[in-house]
Amino acid sequence: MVRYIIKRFVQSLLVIWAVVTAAFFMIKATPGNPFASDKASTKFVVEQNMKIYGLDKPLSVQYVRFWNNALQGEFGYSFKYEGRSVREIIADSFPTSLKLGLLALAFAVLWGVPIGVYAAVRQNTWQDFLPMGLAMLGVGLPSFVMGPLLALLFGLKLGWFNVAGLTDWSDWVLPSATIGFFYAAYFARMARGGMLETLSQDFVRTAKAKGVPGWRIVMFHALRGGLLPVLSFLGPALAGLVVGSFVVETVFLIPGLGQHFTEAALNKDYSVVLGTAAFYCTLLVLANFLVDILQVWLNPRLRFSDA
Amino acid sequence: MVFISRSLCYLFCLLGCVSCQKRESLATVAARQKILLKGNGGEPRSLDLHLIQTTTEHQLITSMFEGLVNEDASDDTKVQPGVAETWESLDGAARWIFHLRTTAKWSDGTPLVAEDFVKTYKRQLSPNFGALYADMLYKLKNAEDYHQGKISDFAQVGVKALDSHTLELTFNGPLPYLLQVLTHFTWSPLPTHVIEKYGDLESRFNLWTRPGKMVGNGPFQLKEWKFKEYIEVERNPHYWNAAKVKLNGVRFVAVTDLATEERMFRNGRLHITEQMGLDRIPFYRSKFPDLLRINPYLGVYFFRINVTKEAFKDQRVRWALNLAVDRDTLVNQTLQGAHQPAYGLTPPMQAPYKLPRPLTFDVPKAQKLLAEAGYPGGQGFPKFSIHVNDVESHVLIAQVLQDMWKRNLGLTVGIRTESSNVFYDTQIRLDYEVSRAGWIADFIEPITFLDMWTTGNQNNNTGWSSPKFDQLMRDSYVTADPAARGKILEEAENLFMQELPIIPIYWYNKQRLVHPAVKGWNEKLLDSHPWDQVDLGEEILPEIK
Repeated sequence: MVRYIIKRFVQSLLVIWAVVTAAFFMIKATPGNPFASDKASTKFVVEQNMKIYGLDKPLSVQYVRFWNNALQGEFGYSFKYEGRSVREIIADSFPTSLKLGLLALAFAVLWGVPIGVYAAVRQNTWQDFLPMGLAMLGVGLPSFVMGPLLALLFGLKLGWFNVAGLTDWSDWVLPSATIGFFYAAYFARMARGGMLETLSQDFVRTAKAKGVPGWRIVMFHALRGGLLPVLSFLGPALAGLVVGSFVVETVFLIPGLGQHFTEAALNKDYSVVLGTAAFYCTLLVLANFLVDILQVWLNPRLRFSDA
Repeated sequence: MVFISRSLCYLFCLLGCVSCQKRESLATVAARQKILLKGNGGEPRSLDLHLIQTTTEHQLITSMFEGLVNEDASDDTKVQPGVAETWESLDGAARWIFHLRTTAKWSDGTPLVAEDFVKTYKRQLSPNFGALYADMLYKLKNAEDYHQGKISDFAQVGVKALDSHTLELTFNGPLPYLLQVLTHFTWSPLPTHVIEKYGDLESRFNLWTRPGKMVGNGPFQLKEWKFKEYIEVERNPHYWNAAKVKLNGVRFVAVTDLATEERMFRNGRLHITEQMGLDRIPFYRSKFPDLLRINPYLGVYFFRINVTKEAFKDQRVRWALNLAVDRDTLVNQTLQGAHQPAYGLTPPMQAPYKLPRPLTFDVPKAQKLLAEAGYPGGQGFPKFSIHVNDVESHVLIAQVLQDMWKRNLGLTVGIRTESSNVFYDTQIRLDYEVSRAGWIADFIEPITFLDMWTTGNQNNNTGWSSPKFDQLMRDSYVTADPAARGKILEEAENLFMQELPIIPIYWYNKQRLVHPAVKGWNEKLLDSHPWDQVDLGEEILPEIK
């Protein structure tokens, strides 16, 4: 077990190194200049700035310097937002994204799972087709359409919520619903599939034969097995949700991490690109590492085959 | 299952109802508290005057800093005393003396003195600091040499504190329009005593602009900075004119998306938007014309022509491209009349000469010129691309030009889009044929539209160079007499418009929505509104449906 953990840990570190190194060389290879602007600074000022941020050095020197700092948890300063360190940007925006992600996930699970289960129980009736049709719509409707639609309907038409900004607890409802709607649709389809498979198994037939009421069969016999596909998707879904969404953050004016990913790449804000990439990569690798350990711990067969 | 779903549905409605019961729009509450809610068009790069460059920071900065003079609240041709109470121009306007008001203070109560200007300009011109707009100060004697490290003694630069409240500025030549130049934020002072308290004066990573640390000298001071959300400023009790300031504060909201900004306005979360989408103009124009403000904004939207490319070296080709553009249709129909068609370079403004307007829409002449250049009916002309940054409205204009040149000249034109930082870099490297550009004036004087075309200027980026034009600009720098200077500039602009290395499309207007409660927000060519004049009344926003 210990050997397995060490092996997986070293593998995880290698993955992080490889991803961040690839990101480093890819972003440096893209065209563009972080100090190019509509009102151009003089060539001399651009050179001064390249020097201040160490971009005048050869790529190999920049790479070594980057890792030297990164290993101490330093990713430098943003080129776009003067005086703001990457660490500060992540520390400021990640809690917001985390909260939004968790709310969206809660929304998705609370809506998606019951609907999926219900549709499975009423398979091939309108009570199945209607929610599953809606779920298709949910998967297909992008958030840049869904977000403004919700804002128009619940914000402007009905006046229930604010259309953007975070001044009130209720301001979290529309953005988390926008993200959550997509995942709810996904969860509904998965829960339906899982439940259909479980409901067709022998032990369910036996329970039915013994006269167990339908709702009891669903709740106490089939549900646990039926939700397994949903559970396996929860991990990746969570990782994707907590790092934020560029579109939803822009539409609802939320200061999350998602916009930094996109903006930094467009602005050639190298330090923010690398810092956020390293952060996201570490988060994902860490989650996978923990899940792997947990699985091995739960399933001794894996332990023997891998160790 | 049904139960759970229904419960969730009720919960969702309940959340809405709970929140709707207390609905009184933020704009109404804020107006009562005299706090203006203003869209800012994005998050500022910095609040340090030396590290900013664009209009995103402009209004924020002018609320917290004041220069030697201020813009007038309604008359663009006038300036009002700021930190300087009086001034005199000497040596044919090449040397100016400013008498600072003794009541001018920093927001921490420290008196503002002439030495503050000297130290500020020294920081901005430091060869190691990398101030983004340092070249604005190149008009000062020896400033360029000091900035580029050719001289190391700052005493040789044309800024001197004659005593604690007298500042002397000496320039390379006469600057009769200096007072207009001084309204630009690059000439405002910085609290060097505060910057030094939190680190090195010339360090880029000094955090003196954070709430609790930042000190300014404008009508307002920094209260709160929520990164990527908003920046709020409150009254500065030490401002020399504090009694005249009407608002208690301004909240600058970092909203970038046009549709979101408009929804926030309708939802009563903003008093003033920074911009608005073209697609919403017809709606407001017909239903709520009082909320819509479309005012001239001193700038020109144009396309650069890369004259180093063989086909575009011929002046006749450049004229043909210009004459084949129907600016009226493009601006009034495609752009919903949001701007003014540009038939010349310098936008309408008070100028010391008659601004040339040589462009027309003349397809036969355009075809004739193209044929004379060796491309009858566009035959044989190399395929080229219109280079734009990936913003919807720019792409739209490129599509219209593409169509007009195809129809009117028979040219095959593509469109090439790039994200902004790549786009500007490509433009600087002259790796384009025809490329989009916009230029907003720094101050109200035609020279701000002309001197960028001199050889080697970082904003030229067309490859166009004319020794005669360069000489005329140099002559203008040393001519004090307004009439003579006007003649020189007129000749320079005529020469430029004759050679035509650009395709002017429109002169900017600023489009925005303004809440009826906002007072004192006048039409201003540079969109800078003296903050002590702005006020909020009790008017309520009509329901916008």
